[in-house]
Order: sequence, then C-alpha cells, then structure tokens
Amino acid sequence: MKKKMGAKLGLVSIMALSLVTAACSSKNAASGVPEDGKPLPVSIMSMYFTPEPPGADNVIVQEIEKKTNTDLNITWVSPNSYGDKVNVTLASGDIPDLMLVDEPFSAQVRTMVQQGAFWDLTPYIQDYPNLANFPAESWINTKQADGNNYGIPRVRPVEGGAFLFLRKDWLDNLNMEVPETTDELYEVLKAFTKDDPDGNGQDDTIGLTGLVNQNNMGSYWAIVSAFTQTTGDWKDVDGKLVNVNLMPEMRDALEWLSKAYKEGVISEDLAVLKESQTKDHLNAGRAGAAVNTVEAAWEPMEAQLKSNPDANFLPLVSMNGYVNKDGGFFGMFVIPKTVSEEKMKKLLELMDYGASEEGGTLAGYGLKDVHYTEENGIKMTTEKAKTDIVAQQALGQIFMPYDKYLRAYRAGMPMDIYERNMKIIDEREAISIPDKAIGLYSETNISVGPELAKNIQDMKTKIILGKQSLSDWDNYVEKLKNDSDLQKITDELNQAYTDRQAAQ
Amino acid sequence: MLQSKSDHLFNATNLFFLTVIGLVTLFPLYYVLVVSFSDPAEFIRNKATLFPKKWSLDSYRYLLSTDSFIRAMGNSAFLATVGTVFSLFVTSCLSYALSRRRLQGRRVMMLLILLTTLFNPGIIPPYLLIRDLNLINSIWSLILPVLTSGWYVLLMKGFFDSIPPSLEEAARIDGCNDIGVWWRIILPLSLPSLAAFGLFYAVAYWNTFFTALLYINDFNKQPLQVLLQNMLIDSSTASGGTAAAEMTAEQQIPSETLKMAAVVIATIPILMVYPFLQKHFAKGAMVGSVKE
Repeated sequence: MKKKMGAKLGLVSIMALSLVTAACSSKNAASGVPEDGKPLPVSIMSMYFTPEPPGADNVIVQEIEKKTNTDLNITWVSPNSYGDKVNVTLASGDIPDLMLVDEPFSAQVRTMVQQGAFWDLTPYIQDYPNLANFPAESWINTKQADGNNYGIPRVRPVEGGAFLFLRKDWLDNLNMEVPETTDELYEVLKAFTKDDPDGNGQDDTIGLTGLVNQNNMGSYWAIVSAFTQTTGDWKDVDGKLVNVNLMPEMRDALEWLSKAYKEGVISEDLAVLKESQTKDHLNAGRAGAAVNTVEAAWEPMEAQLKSNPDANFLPLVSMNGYVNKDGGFFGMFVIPKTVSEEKMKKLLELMDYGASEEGGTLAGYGLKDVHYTEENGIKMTTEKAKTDIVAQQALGQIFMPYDKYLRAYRAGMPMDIYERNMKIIDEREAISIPDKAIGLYSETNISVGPELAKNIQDMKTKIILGKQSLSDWDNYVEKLKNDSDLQKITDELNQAYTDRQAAQ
Repeated sequence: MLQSKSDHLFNATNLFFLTVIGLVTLFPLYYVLVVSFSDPAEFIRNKATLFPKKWSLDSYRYLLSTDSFIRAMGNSAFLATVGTVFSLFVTSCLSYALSRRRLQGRRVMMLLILLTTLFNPGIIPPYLLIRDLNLINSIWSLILPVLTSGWYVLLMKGFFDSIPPSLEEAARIDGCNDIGVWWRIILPLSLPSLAAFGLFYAVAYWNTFFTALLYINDFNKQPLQVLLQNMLIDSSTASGGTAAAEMTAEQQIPSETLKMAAVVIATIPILMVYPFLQKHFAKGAMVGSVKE
C-alpha cells in the first residue's frame, strides 16, 4: 500500500512539474525597436512553393533588408506540413513577429484572437496606403468574429480563380460553339469523349478530368455551383443562409454528374485520382476540360503546343451565367501582442513596402536584367532567378502587391493569351458571386462539420458512381433536413451572418 | 511422414493463398520500381504496365543531380549512423547497470523508465524543452530526445540478466573493473542483441519525420523523409478560394516517375541493412524470453 502511494505521488509530482515548466517557458521575448540607424530584427514564418526555399544569404532577402533597414530571419515551412507547424508555434507561445496563419478561422486562431494574442490592426491600416489598397473583400473576409482585422491578408485577386476551362481547338475541330449552359457543356464533353476531337482516329479522349475528395466535390464543385448558382456550401436565400445540399439544384447537379460518369464523359477513376494525374491527362492531350485558375490553363497548353501547334485551352467566363468570386486572401499574417506598438508599426511599414509596386517586384521577380527582363510590360524570368530562388512562389508569398490581373499571367505566356485572360477576368468581374459563408463561425460546424461533410460527400460519390440512385438521394436529403447537427450549424451560421451584416 | 489426402489439400490451399497474398504485397513495391525506371514522357502517355515500354534512368539521374536530395540523404545517413551508435551506447550502458543487482536505487530508476513507456507528453512540452535547450534547428534535436527507448532498455536488461553472474565474477578476479567487464565481456557476448537493436534504432532514425518537421526550420538540415513528403503529397483541389485549391495552383508537382525513383532511393539503404543483420534477429529478439 505504502509503495503504491509513493508511486502515485511521484507521478503526480512529475506531472505538476511539467505543467509548471510549460507555463514558465512561455516567456515573452523582449521586442524593442533598436536605436536609430540600426536594422530592425524581424522574424517571419511563411510557406514556400519552390523546390527549395530561399536561404538566409539570398540576394533578394539581403536587398530587401537594405531597402527597409531590417534584419530578416525567415522560417520557411513546406505547405504540406504548415498546419502542424502553425499549431506548435501558436501553442508554444513563441510566435514570430510576422506569422502566416493559413487558416485564419481555425478554432485555435479564434481562441487566441479572443485571448488577445494578436494585434488588432483595424485602426492602423489606413495609414499604410499600399495595404489599404487591397480589395475590400480581402479585408472583409479576414475579419474575425468581433469585426476587427487581426492580420494582414496574404492578398489574392478575387477574380480569375479556379473554374472550368476547355480545349477551344477541339471545339473548332468539331464545329461546336463555346458552351454557356450545363446542357451545352454536356454535349461538348460528350463530343470530346466520343467524336475523336483530336482527329487521330483513336478513341483515346475524355471530356472533363477531375477528382472528388473524401469530404468535398473536388474539381466538380464548378459543375455543382453552376447548378446551385452560389459559391461554397451556403446560399443566401432571402437573407438567410441555406445549405446547398438541401436544394433541388443539388439533385440536378448529381443527375448531370452521374449521367456523365455513366457515359464516360468525366474521369472514370474520379474517386482515386490525384491532382498530378489530372494534370498529366491534360498535358498529354487526353482530356478536353478541367477546373483550375485562369492562368493555370496555360500550363497544359504550353505542354501541348510542343506537339500540336493548334492546342488552345480556353478558360470559360461563366456557366449558366454563374462564375465564382474568390475570398481575396490566402491566409493572413498576424503580429503577436508581445511585440511593442512601435515595432508593430514598423512591421506594418515593412509589409506596406512589400505591397508596393517596387517591393512586390523585388520580392517576386528580383532585380531587373539579372533575374528578369521586361518586354512590353511582361516580365520574363531568367535562369539566374531559378538558381537564386527568386520567385513569387517563395518571397512573393510574403511580399506581394495587390494585382487584379495576377491570375491572367504566368511566366512564358505570349502576349495574346495574356490579353485574352485579362479580358476574361474583366468579364467575370461583372457577374461573379462570392462565398457568403467565408469566416462565419459555427462551433458545431468545427466539431461535427468534418464528419458530416464526409458523410454527405460519401453519398454524393456513390450517386455519381451509380452505386446509389437519385431516389436514395431524395431520402437522404429528407434525413439531412431533420439532422439536428446540420440544423444547429445552420442556425449558428445564420446568427453569425446577421451579426456580421449588422456590424458593417 | 505419411500425409493423408486432407493434409495435401490443406497444404495446397495454404500454399495457394500465401502465394496470392505474397504477390499482392509485393505488387505495389514492384510497381514503384517499374514506374521509377520508366521514361517520364512515355509514362504519361501510356501509364506503366507490368513491364515498362521504354526504360529510362532519367528520373534517377535528375534526382542524384539535385543538391537538395543529396543533402537530405546525407542528413539521414548522419542520423542513422551517429544516432544508432549513440543510442546503442546509452541503451547498453543503462541496461547493463540496471541488470546488476548491487546498483542502488535500481527500483526507482526502473520505475521512472517504465513511466516513460506509459505516458506520452504530447507535442508541446517536448517542443518547449527543445526550444529552451536552444536545439531548434540543430540536427541533435533529432537524436538527443530519442537516444534511448524505455522499452528497449527493459528488453536489453533482460538479455543481460541472462548472462550468468559467475562470468562477471571470473572477469573481476582476473582484474577487470566495471567498465572493463562491460566492454570486454558483456558487449562481445551481446552482439546479437546489439545487432537487433541497432537495426531497430537505425530504421527509426532513417524514418525520422515528424520531429524534424517541428524542430528543424532550416531546409538544408531536413532529413530525407521530409523532402520525400514534400515531393509525394498531392494537395487536392477543394472548392474555390480555399487554401488547398491555392496550393495546387502554386505548386509544381514533380512527375510520377520522379516520385517513385525518390521512394526507391530512400528505401534501398535501409533495405540493404536487413540481410546483414537478420541472422542475429532470432537470438537478439529472444532476449528475456527465458526466466530463471
């Protein structure tokens, strides 16, 4: 008995000890601003998409340090593991001066915002012209529950996001028009599949390549949205948010998709397909349509042009008159409260420089005539840019000016394609529809939402694959309507929705 | 031995099923190998069949020419060799000491070691510890915290327990001190268990992944598994504007053949260690199975 007590005591004391040490070590780093003239030390955490991240001795990093009189210490994290890293960093309390939070509405970020861990930047933004110049959507959509901005959005254009694009040259071969409705699209995709659009005499093509994920429609959301006429899972019907899965339009979309699957018009292995494989299909000229951003259509086109001078991938302006408007951000940079107000302002100044034309060009493209050459306003990157790791995919992820036509251009693209893409973006701007539910908070959704989404998607995938019939879907929807979790989520989201509208 | 008809039938079905299961297990490995040797352009056009239509070493050539891959290999090799040596040293010292009955406080130490196998502190406390030790971004942060495993210490102690104490006494009479006994008598006798545990440690170090993700910020110090994950993971498209959709738009995904070649190169070194150490396995893993 005595022995047991001792063991228990030992255990308790060890646990207590670890708690104490954990609490003690979340000490605040002194974050003073150095005296005049000395460079300001700035620690940053962000992600990179280049094969390798830029090192500390990177030419451009040094150039930016010189221009802004800072001493940058950047931690580069791979996008694949960014979530884990953010969690550890936030929990350890050892937050860099500027940290990219890729999911501004995760439970952890929300809690920390409520606890006052980050600077409320709302009153300061207007003092920084380039940051204030970001599109209104970027700032509105990154507002937290209390209506304030706790981070600088990593700005993205709101137009030109992922949507359908298809092969114009195949359309021409088949003497078909660019489709404008889902019915026309179906005919086009069917012809792409059956009527030998590439004229090689072989039955080796399919219409649309794309995948479904475990918990969402993957690439086929564009088709679904064309039916539901809204971006995302929630539609504003008379000022109230309604889940699109309960709408009859979803049934129509599923009917379209299951028919398309049955006739081999869309990828037959859509449930196991990988993103890289869909790209392979396009690059190899085996698929006639896909869903991706406007400028991404250039990638398979460039690949096809090598063997087929007529290849032409055309991003569609709309489908059934619908096109999506993006959120205008891809995560945001937060500044921890441990930083002094003076330094916080300097950090905003640094980000403002990055958001300027000069700073953004320097970070994303490097030095003129060294890392890029300019012709007719188009920047061509050089080999040196690759070896020096100068790219929008690296430093450009931190310092980036708002560019409405960002999604129109990709390196190496000819002028006529660029101009066509700009026109498509302008046309989309007039009609695009935003996702009303971005950033709305529902506690129930955080706890049971993922499971529910998986369940719903599971049913949808089965219907597309023909394993369940549409009448099964009707029954399922009836059940969903009475699902207490979904009702709770709907109520909570609508509450947040009205609150947000009232705050504006 | 006489076999009845039903015995024959049983053996035949057994053989059949085991062969099928064996082939099913081997096929993914075989597929990886075939794809890695396929010509990248040919692979996109026709996919791989049982046998590549066009052999090519392009993927391997490319991988071995990249700095990051070679560097990551080097880091992992360092981890696997240095880490294993250090781990074996610490584990064998600790378990030898614990196996000697004259050691004072032996029970308390055993209890503490046992506790580590029962309770997992999670991610945050070790992270804070590593940070406060200034080991963030140091390759030692991947070695020091995992120098020994409580479970292996207990196993190895069992092995040392089975060595007769009279052997130690004889060595002492011949003039050996504690360290001498450990080094000259015990370790040579424990080679099988050292080999077995060495392999366990080497595999664990070679597969270091999650801790590296958390503790190492400098890309140049990342081990191979982190690089592999970067190469292999496909971020899938999600509905418009979300992070996942952005990622695929911004990421250049390496081709399938390149990925498979990377998998092969990353697997081979550790695969090659097995045949050399396997003969010790039976003895090494038997440790502690006989109680006196």
